[in-house]
Amino acid sequence: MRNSRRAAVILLAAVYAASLGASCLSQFDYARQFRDCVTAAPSRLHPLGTDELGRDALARLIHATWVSLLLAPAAALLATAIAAAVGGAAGYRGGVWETLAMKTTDVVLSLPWLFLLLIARGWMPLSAPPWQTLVTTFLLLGVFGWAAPARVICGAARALRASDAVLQAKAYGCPPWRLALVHVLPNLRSILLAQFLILIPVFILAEGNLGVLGLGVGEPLPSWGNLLRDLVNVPEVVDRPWMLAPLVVFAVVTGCFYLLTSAGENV
Amino acid sequence: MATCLFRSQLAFRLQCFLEARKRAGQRGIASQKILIYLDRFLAGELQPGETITREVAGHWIQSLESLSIGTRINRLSVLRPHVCCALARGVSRARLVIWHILAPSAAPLLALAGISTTLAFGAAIPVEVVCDSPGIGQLAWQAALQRDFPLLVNLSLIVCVLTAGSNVLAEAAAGRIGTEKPGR
Repeated sequence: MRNSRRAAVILLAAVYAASLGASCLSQFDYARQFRDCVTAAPSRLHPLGTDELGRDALARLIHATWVSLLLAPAAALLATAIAAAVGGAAGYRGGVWETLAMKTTDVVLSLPWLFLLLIARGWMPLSAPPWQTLVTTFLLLGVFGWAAPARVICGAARALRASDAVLQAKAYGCPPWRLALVHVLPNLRSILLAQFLILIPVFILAEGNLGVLGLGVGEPLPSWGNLLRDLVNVPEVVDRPWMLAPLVVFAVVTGCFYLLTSAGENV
Repeated sequence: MATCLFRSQLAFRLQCFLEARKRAGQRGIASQKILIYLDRFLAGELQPGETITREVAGHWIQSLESLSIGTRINRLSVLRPHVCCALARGVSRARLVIWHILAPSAAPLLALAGISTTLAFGAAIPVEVVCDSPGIGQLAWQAALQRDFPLLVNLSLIVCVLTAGSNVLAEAAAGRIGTEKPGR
């Protein structure tokens, strides 16, 4: 397990580095159209060919990787923060608050989140600028994704409430804010980290789902969902297998994130 | 020091348990379909003409992870003492699986199925869109593309009602089986 985890970290670091060094790897802008070589095969100028609008596929892939790998962790951070606030407070306070918070998470969990995303995303006008759709998509993911981690964190905080360390801190007359920041939060750190790592691939997949449905990030901004959408046309993909490159990167990255989390679980 | 160590151990166990439960709750029905399919495949029950349809393949992809959870549940229950005891007594394989492994774990499995109705509907959207098969998912997609909010809201309501219904059914079934109620 150790080795697979290490391999996952190395692979992820490589993908991050490649996506950050985008300007060095590809000399074209993701939206620039080469009208004279539409749906071209790989060449020295375009290592992964061009799409049907004549845009460089490598530039789009790198930019999409950069977008997804930056915004999915950001959304996961937001969701984990909300979950920590709700779950931690509920588990630690106990009583009515806990019941209330757990009922709320139950309701949120039983809502069909993809339907909600469709509704919320469909609410935006068609003329919204691409960056706005990008930020909204990931913001929605962060706002809808807090319920499941909140339950886990609530359970951990409940266990912590009954612990000797907190009892002793209370006996010393520790003020509540210090109790929360110094005694409770550091003890929840490993759980928060695990939840954060679990949420990242979930959000990447969710964005991919929305993108395939045409309701993710707006064109011309590339995202993994948008790029995967081109693969729906199977006969074309069979003729031009290099179009599968985004899928390979997508699978490798989500696989690496899952390896990271499952390696932590099976110690 | 010893208390501290014990507590961190306890917290870690709890975390593992909650993690596993959370993940198990995420994808249920699809994974059960796959398990049934795999079971039939391994038993050689599949008809010659019956190959993996696109929909089955879609579900397969969606639930590769939960398949591992299913096997993990099985592995855990196999390790229980009463199963070892039954094995030692020479209980037949089918009886062992049905009465000694499946029956005690029916309650959590049912709870899992109840919770995962929502996720199954969510997973149906991309599968139905990509495979172009009509259903609630495709309808919701078209409604979202055409900004048809009343339809979208009503579809969500239907899915919510179905989820609530399946949860009630799961609790009732677990009550009938007589083991503990589905864990919350």
